[in-house]
Amino acid sequence: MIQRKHPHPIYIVQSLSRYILLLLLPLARGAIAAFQGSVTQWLAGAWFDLSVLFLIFLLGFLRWLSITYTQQGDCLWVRKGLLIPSQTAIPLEKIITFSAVSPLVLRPLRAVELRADTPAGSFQKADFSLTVWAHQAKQLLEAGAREGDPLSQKPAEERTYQPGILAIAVLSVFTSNSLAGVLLSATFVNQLGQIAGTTLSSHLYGAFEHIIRILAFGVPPAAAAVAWLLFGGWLVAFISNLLRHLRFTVKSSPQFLKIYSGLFTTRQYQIRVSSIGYLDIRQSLGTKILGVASVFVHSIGYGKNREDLSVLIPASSVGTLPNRLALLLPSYQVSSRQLTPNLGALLRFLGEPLWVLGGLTAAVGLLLWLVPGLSQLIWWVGLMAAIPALWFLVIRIVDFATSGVSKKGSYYTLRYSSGFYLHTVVIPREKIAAIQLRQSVFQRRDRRCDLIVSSYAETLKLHRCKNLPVAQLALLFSLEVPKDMKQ
Amino acid sequence: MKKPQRELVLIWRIRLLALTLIPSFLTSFLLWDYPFFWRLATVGWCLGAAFFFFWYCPKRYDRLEYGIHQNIFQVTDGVFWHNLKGIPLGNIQSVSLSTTWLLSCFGLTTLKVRGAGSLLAVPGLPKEYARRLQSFLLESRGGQNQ
Repeated sequence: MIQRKHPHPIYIVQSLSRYILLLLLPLARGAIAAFQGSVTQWLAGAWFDLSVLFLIFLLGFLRWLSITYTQQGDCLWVRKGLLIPSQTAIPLEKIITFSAVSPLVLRPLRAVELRADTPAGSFQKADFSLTVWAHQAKQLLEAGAREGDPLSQKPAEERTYQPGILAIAVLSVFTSNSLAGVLLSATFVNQLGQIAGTTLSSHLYGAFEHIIRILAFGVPPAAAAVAWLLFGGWLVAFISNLLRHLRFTVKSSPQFLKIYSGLFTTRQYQIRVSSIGYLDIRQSLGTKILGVASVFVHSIGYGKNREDLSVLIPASSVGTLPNRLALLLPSYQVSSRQLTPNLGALLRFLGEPLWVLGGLTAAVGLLLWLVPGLSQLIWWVGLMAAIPALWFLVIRIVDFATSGVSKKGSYYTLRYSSGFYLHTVVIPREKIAAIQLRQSVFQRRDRRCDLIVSSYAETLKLHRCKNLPVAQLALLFSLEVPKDMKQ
Repeated sequence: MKKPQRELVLIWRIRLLALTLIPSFLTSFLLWDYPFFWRLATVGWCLGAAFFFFWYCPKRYDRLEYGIHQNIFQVTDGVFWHNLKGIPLGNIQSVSLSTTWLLSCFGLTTLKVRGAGSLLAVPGLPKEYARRLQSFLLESRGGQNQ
């Protein structure tokens, strides 16, 4: 007898949002009663409001009742739908990433949000996503980890890596986005205003304005407000990232990577090693100067949601990184550059930041000429905008000096920059979705071209390395290049 | 590396001539009352069409090649930018054949090979040959995945 399991009862409450539109009915009735100005009439129809509320809970309950899941043999079976029932079987061997997220509010209820992802299905949604009891989630995760292991009863030997708090702080510093923090804070204050009345949020915004006037230090108050807002936003994002990555631990076996993290919301991911798309060793200019790098794993289902993790090594010195990688993923080895861009390509690397700097200078000059009265503000904003542009220029200079391609065994190492980050990507040959060599008229004289490698993990990603020699690239990637590209 | 059928150049040229009806109509419709500008625009689009007719179409055909090399299906194309695109056989997701009215008049078809997020198209293949190539690519894909 197969025992089918229902989701955790909290799923009833979680699914209520689907029927929220039904609340429009009591709202419309209340509006009509208000227009008629009769409280007694409104009270007399209160049974209708209660019935709608009951109906919403009933629908939530029926939805919960209609969903069952069970693990039978090598498959995870999910049954959904009351009127139109459907049954889905997900083979455990096809599940690339299993994740169990336990937010703070669900922990006292021993409920876990369980997700399973396969190469099929949508980018936005996991193939299987359900709130289940913690012990049932554990059983499913264990079943997923046993599959494919020839000694299924005997757990495979695991190697553990747990970074220190400093490494997590470094990762949080360099991955925190000011804008995300500002949006998070603004949403929080607005929600507070809606809950506690608009007066409170008005007071908070008023206090912010007052503090800015004190902290302006001779800078135009508007510019100071922007600067402090960005800093505040960054701080919020930093704390949020820090809490998300605290207690970060990776356990590695030949078949699976198991990643745990989080202080308040705990997260657990189980990734099939053979299905990892590629590794991305990421450095910003700051971490490059400090000789530190972070390693990210790109695999289907890992990093799918905005609040998900995708990190494997939060921060490590460049010297110890190979050892740590050898511990966790021995087959992924970074190789030294074999093909590099030539000196003639320097302008291709520096072109974009130089255009930005030129445009910025012209814009500042024009604005000073048009509105001389705002010169103080224009200079300040111009200076502030010039900092990221110069930063970008330095990134591109470093990119020129460090970019290139190499191969070791069946693993390619691609070095390039994208935005403000320097990437070192290690990708197995069989995970390359497509290769493109692109040669412009100017590159033809040097017999050089751009290499664009498409990889396919959670999303499609293009890795672009500039100005590499065509003939050597053809050899490295086993391509047959036409004569007019290499002569 | 192999080349598609030579008739492809003729097909592109026929398509180009059909397309020239648009600027011809627009210039006549909009600039009929301004003979100088009408002549200028007509000379402009005629020169453009001649450029594509005599230089671009044959050049594009010269650049177009396809083949399988070390388990990678690859296509070279591009006139101003030379491109070489390749999809490893094991990563081919689907292979389809599509044809237009003009292509089918010449007994030709377009082979479309889709990888994850990428597409390689080879126009101007004889239908029967394209079908065989399609089957071969699909079988090779299975073989590579095993």
